[in-house]
Amino acid sequence: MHILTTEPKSRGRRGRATAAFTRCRNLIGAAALACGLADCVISKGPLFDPKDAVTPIAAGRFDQQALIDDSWISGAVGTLSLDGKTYTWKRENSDSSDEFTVYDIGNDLYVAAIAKKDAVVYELLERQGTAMMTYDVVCRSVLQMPVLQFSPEVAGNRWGGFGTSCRFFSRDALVTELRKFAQRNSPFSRFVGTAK
Amino acid sequence: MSGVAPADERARGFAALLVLAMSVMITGCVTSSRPYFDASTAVLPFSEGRYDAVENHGGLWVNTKSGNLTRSGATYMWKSDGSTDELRMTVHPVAQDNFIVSAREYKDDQLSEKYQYFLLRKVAEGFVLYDPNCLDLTRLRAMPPPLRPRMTKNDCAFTGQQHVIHALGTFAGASAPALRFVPGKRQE
Repeated sequence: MHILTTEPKSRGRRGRATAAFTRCRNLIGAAALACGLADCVISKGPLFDPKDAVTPIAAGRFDQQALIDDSWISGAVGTLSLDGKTYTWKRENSDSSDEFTVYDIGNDLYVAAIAKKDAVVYELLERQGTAMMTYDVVCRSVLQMPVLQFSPEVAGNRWGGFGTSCRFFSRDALVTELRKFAQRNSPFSRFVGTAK
Repeated sequence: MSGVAPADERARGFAALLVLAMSVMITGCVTSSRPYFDASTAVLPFSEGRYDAVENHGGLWVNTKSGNLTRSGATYMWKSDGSTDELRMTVHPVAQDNFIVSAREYKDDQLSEKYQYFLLRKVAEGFVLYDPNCLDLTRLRAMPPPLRPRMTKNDCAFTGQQHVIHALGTFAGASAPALRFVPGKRQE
């Protein structure tokens, strides 16, 4: 079932600076789709078998929005395409794109695995009705969790200017901690289908 | 939930602004432009001296920075090794062994106009620090909606002292500390 559909645009509160949420966000939004490796949740090699990938999102044009003061504020518009089980996300006005695969971890939660040059970056997604919510998981937030059953290997430190990265070594460890992350935190952004 | 920003705003870059987010991340963004704590209520729970800042890496504590804590009157000054910048702080008790730090950066002979707030908790080996940013506070499920800060153009907005105390206290009750400060060795 495709979980993203095109919704009509509502007239919204104007003038709410996107700067407000981007400045105070410490992550990369939908994440990891725009993320380098700094402050990300990563693994060196893939933790999921590509054969297990699912395709719960319909290809199309999407509006990426963040929840600011109870309003959804647009952050970026882009195109999501699907080749087999591999998605490609390309933001408008950007030369770069990101490929990722999606894995079902139950309870409407999904893990997106974004292939980067030297690592795989992970983001947590949740299906809520017709929208795909994203948790914007960053290493800093993972380390704030009071109890970690599987502590990641942390590279970098808070003083370095680029944040830290949390490296997991097994799928079980990653999925366990991401599920706990979803219990502790609300999603912060979402993808909504949008017409051209 | 109401609206969505207009298309021209949308087109403005997420990516470029995210770079700003990374810098804000380091200092945190529980701030105010006027002081929420009266200096006359400041206390002196910590000894002057040398401290190691030990960072929480998922339960593994890693010493990532050291520095000196000094005091002048009710104001503490923290200076990291190798840095010319200083953090000037007053410390205010809010609960047993819990304190809110009201801090201003002193840089290039100027004291910043913004006040930053952290929660410090005294522990056996020193004290631990909680320094959530706006996103940390707003998305924590344990945070009651009235305690969630509002986002302004550049920062989180709090209504005053009690809002800061309760928001930081709630966060600390549901989180692991980011840093631990322990007495360090004298610099060689």
